[in-house]
Amino acid sequence: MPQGEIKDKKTLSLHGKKNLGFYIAIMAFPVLQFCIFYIGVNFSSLFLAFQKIDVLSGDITWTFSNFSNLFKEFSSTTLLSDTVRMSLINYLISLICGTSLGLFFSYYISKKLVGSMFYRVVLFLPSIISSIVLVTIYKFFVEEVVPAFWFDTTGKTIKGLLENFDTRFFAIAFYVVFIGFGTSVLMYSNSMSEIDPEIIEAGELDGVSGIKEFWYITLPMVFPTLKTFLIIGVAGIFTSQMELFSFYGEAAPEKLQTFGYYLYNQTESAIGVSEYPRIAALGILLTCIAVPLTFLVKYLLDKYGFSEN
Amino acid sequence: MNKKLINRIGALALCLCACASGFVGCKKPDISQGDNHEEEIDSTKTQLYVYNYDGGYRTDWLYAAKERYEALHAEDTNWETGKKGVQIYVNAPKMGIDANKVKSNRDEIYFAEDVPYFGMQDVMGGDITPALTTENPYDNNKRVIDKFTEAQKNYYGVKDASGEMKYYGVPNYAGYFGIAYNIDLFEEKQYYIKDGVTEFPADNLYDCFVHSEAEKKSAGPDGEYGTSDDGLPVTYTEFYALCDYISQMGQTPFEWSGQFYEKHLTGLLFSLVAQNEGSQQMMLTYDASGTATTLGTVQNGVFVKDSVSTQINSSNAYELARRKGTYDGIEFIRRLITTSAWQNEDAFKTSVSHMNAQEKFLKAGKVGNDKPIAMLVDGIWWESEATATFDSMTKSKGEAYSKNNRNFGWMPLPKAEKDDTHTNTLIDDMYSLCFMKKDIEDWKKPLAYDFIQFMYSDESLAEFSTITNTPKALTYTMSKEDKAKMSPYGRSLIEMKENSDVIYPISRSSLFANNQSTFRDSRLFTTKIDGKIVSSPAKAFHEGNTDSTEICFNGIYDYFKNNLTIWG
Repeated sequence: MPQGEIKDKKTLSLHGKKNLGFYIAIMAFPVLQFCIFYIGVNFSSLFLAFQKIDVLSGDITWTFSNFSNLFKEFSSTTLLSDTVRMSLINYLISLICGTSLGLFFSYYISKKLVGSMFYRVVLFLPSIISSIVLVTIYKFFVEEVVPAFWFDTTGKTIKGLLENFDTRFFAIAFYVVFIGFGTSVLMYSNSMSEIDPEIIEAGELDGVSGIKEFWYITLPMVFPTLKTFLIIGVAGIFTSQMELFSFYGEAAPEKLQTFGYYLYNQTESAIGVSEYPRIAALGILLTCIAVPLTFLVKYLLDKYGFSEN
Repeated sequence: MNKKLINRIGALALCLCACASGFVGCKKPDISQGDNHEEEIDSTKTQLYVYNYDGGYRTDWLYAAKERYEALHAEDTNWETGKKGVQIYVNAPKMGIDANKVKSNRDEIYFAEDVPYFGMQDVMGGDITPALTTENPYDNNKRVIDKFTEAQKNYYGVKDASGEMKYYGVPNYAGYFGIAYNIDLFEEKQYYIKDGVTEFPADNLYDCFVHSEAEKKSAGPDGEYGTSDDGLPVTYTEFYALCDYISQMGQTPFEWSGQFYEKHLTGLLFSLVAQNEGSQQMMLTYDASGTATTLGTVQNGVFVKDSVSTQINSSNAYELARRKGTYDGIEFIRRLITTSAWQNEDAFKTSVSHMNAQEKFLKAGKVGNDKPIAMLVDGIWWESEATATFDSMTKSKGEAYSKNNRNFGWMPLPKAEKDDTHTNTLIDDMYSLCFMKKDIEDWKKPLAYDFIQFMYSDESLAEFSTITNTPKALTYTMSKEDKAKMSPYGRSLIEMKENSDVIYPISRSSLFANNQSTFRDSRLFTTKIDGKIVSSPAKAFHEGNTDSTEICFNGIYDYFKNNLTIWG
């Protein structure tokens, strides 16, 4: 081997070591965080689900009773079906309105049409403004401003949109869809901006209309991003709270409660470690449903979804 | 200016707006008003770091105590070498604490709300037995532990491995839900029941109430003439008549927070049940042991008491959901929720917070066009919490609008039955606690004990009460001079506490200890209606799940018996 090549290899090796050191320095903290807050927490929940803890004596016994108790708790009530139904409605609204409008806005922005930067900023604002501030403003708007405006315009008195039983779901759904745009629009529009302009130009030369361009070029090209959002959405069906805690604290009307809200509320109001095993068991049951469902959706999207080719 | 620069300035402005939104609610602290402040650490003194939850009771009382303690110990040189005096460093965020926060905070003494006590010695609370059980030099050598009730001693005393009793906390604020009433308005309109009236015909309520000071008022809840509660309603019937009468007079009987209507009305329900049941029957819920004498069933819309009493234990404690006091309390709440003439128009508006409700209560009839409001459903801390409103009204309209010059009172809750003669009963489920951080440095423990003893001397407790116009959850008496410093509302509250049985819903029973959230007022009235779980009767009536007290009552029993799995 020539002398020069050996020297180069040594230099590269040193360079590689430096890179490795840098890589470790960058990754160590996130990996540690993942180990503690994901692996550690989830294993702790798994063990908790099979424990019965006595806070007076500190005794821990291993049991399946947390699961059997849950079946008894839910057996003669509609709590489970009601909350799951609301979770699915919430997911469908996010899917149908949130995703389609998100794609539409992103397409509009990526085409740099009139006011596109303005929309980009406005749609992303909810993601950077404190949630409690936004909810307070929105609450005030729908409870105070809308009735006042209606009265000034028509002379008739109406209840606030959250106070009125007939409108409160829609008022919250609108808010949820609106604040959901931030990250998705940013990701979709970034993904769309990476589409090779030559493909778009070729389409334009072939006389492809805007709608066809969106359907046959843009959508397949951004499908990997869309797929990620769809899969994450399915995984989060049973944990999404529909922002109910921000609106109502622990007193959301039962008719609006999603399973995610119920679970969060139960955890938040638990007092002492003896109350956690039941909630952990509930979480495990939920995971047993959510995991296969998520994989099924991933499989279906892989098989039947758009292809870049 | 080119376009790029404008874009950059725009982006920067947006970033600043976004960052600033995180600080909404923060304002420049005003130390004279007891605001939380970043105090300089005085390196010539020994620091003791003290946390206080800056909620309804605010922090003014702690700043006042800090001043006195620091002055008293200005010459101390025994805590740290080379340092003279003690600095009580107050940290008062509007944010609760948990074990993790206590571990990571530098604060060493905590005044917190809603603290779970069981097992706290393992995670956050240090042993403060010496502070409680030795003679208190700030209190004529009385001991802090002697201000505990027997129930409190049993609950807070934890036997260690050697069998010795240890304490890890001292009860702090008292907190009861109920009804505050506007005495000025009651006096002006003479909303007092005439003596001797027993019937309240809806079409002639006018004749049931006095119209001048010359007319004799009824004896009121305490049954004695010439006391502050004369003319106030004793029974639910009288109370409903009062509400109807106020409404007929063109005024609004009630205000409560639309945002927290469920919390406040369920808190009121809890207090009504305690008032109906009395302390002995009420404590069965927590001790899961004893004889229940007020159980029954509803038959044809009428509550019928069981012919025999029921022995309660941890396996049948769900039977306590069949109490008469609960049935009557639910009926009271139903009337409140379903009678719109008794409510302010924003009774269920989610944008009306508890502080908005307090402001409306104070300003109605004084500022703007709102009709005067007679009563407010809230916790006893409402007047302290509304300090800013009192101050702004005083500033704009004069001294007559200050706390000490406006007359409010804490209303004795009516009872369902006229012949119910047990003492007025209050129930305190604030679970507020003062404790010392577990891993405080050893050399600092004596200073922490000393400060706790100082804070729990009669003088400090009285000072707390004169500043917040509320009591602490301990047994202590206040002098006439101290009471004279309080607002009329504070005096009425202290006097009521002095003349009442106070229930502290705590116990060392296994059922309670392992299922504490079930026994909080927010869960204790969970009901099942047509298979649907509803968290409270207040919500069930408002949401239209039912308009029947009977269905709501039976639903609580059904849920507790058939759905909860906590029974031994």
